[in-house]
Amino acid sequence: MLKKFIPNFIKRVRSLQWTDISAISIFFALLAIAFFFFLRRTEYITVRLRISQSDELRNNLTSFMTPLWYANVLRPGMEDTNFFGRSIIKIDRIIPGFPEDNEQKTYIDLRIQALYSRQTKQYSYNGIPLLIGSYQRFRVNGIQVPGVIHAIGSLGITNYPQKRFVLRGFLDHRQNDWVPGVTNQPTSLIEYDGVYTYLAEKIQNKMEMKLGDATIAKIVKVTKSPAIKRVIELGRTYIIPDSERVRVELVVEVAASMINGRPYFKDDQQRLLVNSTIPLDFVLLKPIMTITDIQEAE
Amino acid sequence: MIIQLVRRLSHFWNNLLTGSATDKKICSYTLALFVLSLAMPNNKFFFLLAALYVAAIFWHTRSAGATYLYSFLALQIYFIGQRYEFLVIAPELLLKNTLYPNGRYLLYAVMPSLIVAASAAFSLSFTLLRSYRSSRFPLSFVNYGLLLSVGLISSIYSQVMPTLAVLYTLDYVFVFGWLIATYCFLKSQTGLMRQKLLTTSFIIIIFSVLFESGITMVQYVKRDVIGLHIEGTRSVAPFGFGPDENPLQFRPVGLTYHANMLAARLVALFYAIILMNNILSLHSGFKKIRYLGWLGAIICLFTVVLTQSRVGYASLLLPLLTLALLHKSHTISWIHEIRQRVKPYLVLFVPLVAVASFVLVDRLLYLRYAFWENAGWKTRELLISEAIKLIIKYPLLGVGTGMFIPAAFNEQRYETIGVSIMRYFPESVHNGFFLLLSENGIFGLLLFLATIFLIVNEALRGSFTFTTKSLIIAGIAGNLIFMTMQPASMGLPINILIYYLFAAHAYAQKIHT
Repeated sequence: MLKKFIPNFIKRVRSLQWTDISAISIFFALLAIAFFFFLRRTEYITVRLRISQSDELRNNLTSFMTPLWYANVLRPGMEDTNFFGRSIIKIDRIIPGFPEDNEQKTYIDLRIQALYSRQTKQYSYNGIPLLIGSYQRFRVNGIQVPGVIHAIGSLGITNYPQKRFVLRGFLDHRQNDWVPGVTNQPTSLIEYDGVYTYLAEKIQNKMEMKLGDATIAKIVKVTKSPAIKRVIELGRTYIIPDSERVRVELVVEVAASMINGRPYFKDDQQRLLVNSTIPLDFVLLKPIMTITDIQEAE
Repeated sequence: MIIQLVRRLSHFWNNLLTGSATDKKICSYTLALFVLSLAMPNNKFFFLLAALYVAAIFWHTRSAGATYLYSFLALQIYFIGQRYEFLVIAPELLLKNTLYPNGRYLLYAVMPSLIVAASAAFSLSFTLLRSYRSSRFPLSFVNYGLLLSVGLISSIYSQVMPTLAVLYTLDYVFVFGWLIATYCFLKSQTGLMRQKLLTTSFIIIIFSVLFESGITMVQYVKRDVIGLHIEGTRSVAPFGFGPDENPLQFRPVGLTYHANMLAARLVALFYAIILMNNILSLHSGFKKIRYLGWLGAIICLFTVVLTQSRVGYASLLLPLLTLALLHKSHTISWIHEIRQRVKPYLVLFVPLVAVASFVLVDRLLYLRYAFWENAGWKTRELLISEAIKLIIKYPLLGVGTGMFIPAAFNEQRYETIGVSIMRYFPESVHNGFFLLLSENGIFGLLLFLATIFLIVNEALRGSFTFTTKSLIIAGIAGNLIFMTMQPASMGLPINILIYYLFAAHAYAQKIHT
């Protein structure tokens, strides 16, 4: 078959006119140029997306918050496939961020079939460039996933060196109460010390603050003493024991990230400073400790 | 059983094409292209398939001209390729809505059809060299060439994104280059060869219509894109925001990325099919595949109905009604013939008619809200007012091809009263004439109108029959009606390209007789 094919092939090529060969060569030349200069290969890349209420787009006229419940709808393994069953986008991992009172931060690792351009060294998905810091919306399994891109592949994944610190401090009523420390007597002033008894009772030694399986803070020592209140009335100061409150002093061991030589609690959110506060989230209670001393743990 | 079925289909296919002056192998290659394109997983494979298709045609025909003719007609239905998106309006600058969550992008795609057209344009010199004796061009070509030159100049001097504007204009330039090359090529062929080329082109167009219509119907049933790589978009734009839109209805997009774009293409293809059907039926041997033309036309009509494009309905209804009135006796005899032919297959047409009726009635019922606030008409009025601002500021050359959206958005930044429509609906003005005027200036619009006038003039003075002339004019009228309500620009629709091919055929016939 090959013996017949080659002479036929040569005969056929010879029968072509030079104008036709030149004209069709232009097509293949242009195709080759397009292939080599514009080619972007498709590859799978993991994109970390941060979803939180405050990451929604805001503008002058309207604003709305992403509802909290929606973050709980997402599950690892959810994916979108094309007609032939190939995964286009998949939720690899969901990392619950550090929950705060007003904001639920969730980190999602999305495995995306993205296009990579050699010229710009940039990934793009559905034609939109994937840039760290940019706000993007993805669609997975009928759910819209909006958020700020934190990392693309290994770019943006920062593993800060971890260190353990021992913090000494106390629970200041100004951080832990919602009742103002002012009486309704115009001539008197009351200064409180300590926190309400019902809160102090709950704080025990060896209580741990966890993120997933990792312990990020642990109470090493709790010292409780009776609280007092100072009443200033007509120029005189009266120190009265406060039966409703207890002074709580804590020694807490925390895991901190070292960023530029400075310790930060909860990744990069809170710098550890003397005279600053840190919230200790123990699931059912969240006391806020004022730091009086910071020492590196041995 | 499958082998028997394949044999029967192959026998039917051979029987259909035998004696019809059609190149069966090209038709088979085109069918294979469409079928295989369904399975393409990415652009790389799609380009490879397109390259193989072009190589196969060239190998069979041994003619670059024929290769470019067939391959462009087959590949022009695909909107995929190496896509580039350019952010022209950042999301934080737009008022919040679900239509533009990531801002407004302009798209440019390097598609296989563009490469074919560019190749044909670049190889024009070879074509002219071979057929220099017959290189007489209609005046409309010269005029259109001037229009493209104006487009290029206005794009180069665009103050928004000149490079992108030039790329958009070059797309039209390449297609025009393809047209000139194919025109010259056809004129240089013998009568029999021309008939074969045009008949085969007809089959390719029918296939493309059936292919795209099939995908559109599946999308309509699924109420979403299918998930094929060849589809122009991965998600259909949300529908039902204005009072004149039914939010429960789904508008399929075919291989394009918007239902109106699909409608524009199908309307042009419809007119191309009926024109080709009319001219080619004068030749012997065409009788059998005439019915293929009717099938293509009917499926095309049905698919336009599915797109729910009101201007698509108008661009079909008005010219066809006029045609029917002009050719009353012909129309009656066609209707009788269609009734006879369709009768054995009525059971297949009944569901199509039922679905089409439902879709049409639903869409037209909402038409009564078209003049309400936030409805289609009001939106168009607001966009026209934005266009007028640009026209006043850039009257001669406009803002550059394809640059209406960023230019109009930039203009509204200086406004202190009210909220411009560009803040929440950053789209091109939905009127092709205003679009042309704002993007390419008064020169652009005048040259475009002159081109249309010259095409009509040439068609009327050409050696076509009265019916053919009326079909050509009906097609042009359909395109212009579409332009009144949609952002169509200076590109030549497929029915006008087909007209030129037949004009070349008619001219060559005249020379030889």
